[in-house]
Amino acid sequence: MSFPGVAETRPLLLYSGSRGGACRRFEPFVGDPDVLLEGVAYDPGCPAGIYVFARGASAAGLTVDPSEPGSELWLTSALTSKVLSIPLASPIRLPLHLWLVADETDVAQATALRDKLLDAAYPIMDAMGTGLTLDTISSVLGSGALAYDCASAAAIIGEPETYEQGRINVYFVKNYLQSDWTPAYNCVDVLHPEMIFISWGYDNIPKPTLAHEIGHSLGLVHPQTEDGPYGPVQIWGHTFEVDPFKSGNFMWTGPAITNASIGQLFALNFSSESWLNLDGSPFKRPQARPCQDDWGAGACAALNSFVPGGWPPP
Amino acid sequence: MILPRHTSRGPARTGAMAILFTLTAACAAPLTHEEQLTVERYLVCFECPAPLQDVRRLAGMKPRATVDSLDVALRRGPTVQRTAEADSLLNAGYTRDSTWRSRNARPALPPRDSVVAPDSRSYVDGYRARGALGMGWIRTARALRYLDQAIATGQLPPSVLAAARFARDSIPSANGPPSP
Repeated sequence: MSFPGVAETRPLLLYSGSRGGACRRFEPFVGDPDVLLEGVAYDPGCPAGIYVFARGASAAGLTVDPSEPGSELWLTSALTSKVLSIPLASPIRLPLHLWLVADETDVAQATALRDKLLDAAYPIMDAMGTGLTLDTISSVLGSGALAYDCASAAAIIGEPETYEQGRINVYFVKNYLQSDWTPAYNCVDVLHPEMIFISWGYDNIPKPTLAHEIGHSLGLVHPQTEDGPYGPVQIWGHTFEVDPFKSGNFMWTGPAITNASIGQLFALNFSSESWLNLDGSPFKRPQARPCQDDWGAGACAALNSFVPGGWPPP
Repeated sequence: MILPRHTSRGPARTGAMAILFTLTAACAAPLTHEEQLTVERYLVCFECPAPLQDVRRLAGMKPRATVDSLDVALRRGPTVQRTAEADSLLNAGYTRDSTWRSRNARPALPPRDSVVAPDSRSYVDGYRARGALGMGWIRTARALRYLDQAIATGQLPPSVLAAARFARDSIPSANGPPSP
């Protein structure tokens, strides 16, 4: 199996379908750059699909829908020829509108933080094999009369000067929620995952903050959430099966991001809750589906599954 | 049957004392491992309102231990092990970013030490500042005393000092955090 368009990289392939006489789900293979899959067969009883992630390229998906005659042809043809070539396009350019909510005297500070977080976000999105890069435009907004927080989302959206439809809107505000000193917030709680707030007046904002918030926009959640003795809490270690302080996971809140799980890469691109796949999105993928919100495998790859040997490869 | 007064009073007093003892014990009990992780999750939060609520709820049950844990965070920062783990991630991130820049014809990063060391300090200072802010929200006499003591040392880094002063003087005493 080869991947034209991929240069100097090792793609990650997830295979679902019949192999070795058993149904496999999201079985990972790292190419060098090709992948040799042995024992593959077509079995209409086994949901079949191949998904590919690679640095510098868009994610790709090929699936078989048994209710759709002919959708298995790519697989049966590949089994006959014993070769499957999956061309990978350039990364999707994720459109962001970066709003600097700052008075004239503070614009330089807000701009400096924006640039710092962008510098961190570009290599994270690329090296993790998310299939995404950023397409940004920036505007300056005076601090003005509008309250810039998620509770005011409707008012912000109602003003074309403060919100751009069709983009993820990132607001760099002085100090989100004032007294809380939170580095950032994504408005997914109020059903606006395309709205992100980042505090430029907070001195110690971690560099991966923007990438992490984009992860929320694209349907990712924190490593683990379940009911604890005093409400919903995160239980560390369950998802990663390693100490999250060491893991540098995409959605952990550490000082650097150094890995993403298989399920996270999958959900970013193929979850119907990802902003990319919402109704009306020009990026919507035909393979998008509702992903399970627990941590095991289901309709989507498991959020807590990792590539053996680590991902991304050096 | 009417019991003599002394026989009915005794158990009642014992019961009252037992309840008092239980409450006092809960207030003074140390944090469990999971509760300590709840505090640490707040100390490294990106989106802090929910983790802060968890810490405040914990403080409602174990005020002393919660405040003591935040005070340690303010005074000392993360443990040596946590800082080493953060440094390891920062170094890995630096290597990755340098390679990415080279592959994508972007200007090279400044030397490793001039990037990783400030990021590591920022991580530690952010953690310490969050310890101060947590105590500011809990606002028990013990929390305010710790904040006063930390400010009085004159040894807090500027961003941590600013957070400690804000926590001491500017966080409202009665209301919860604003809604996200």
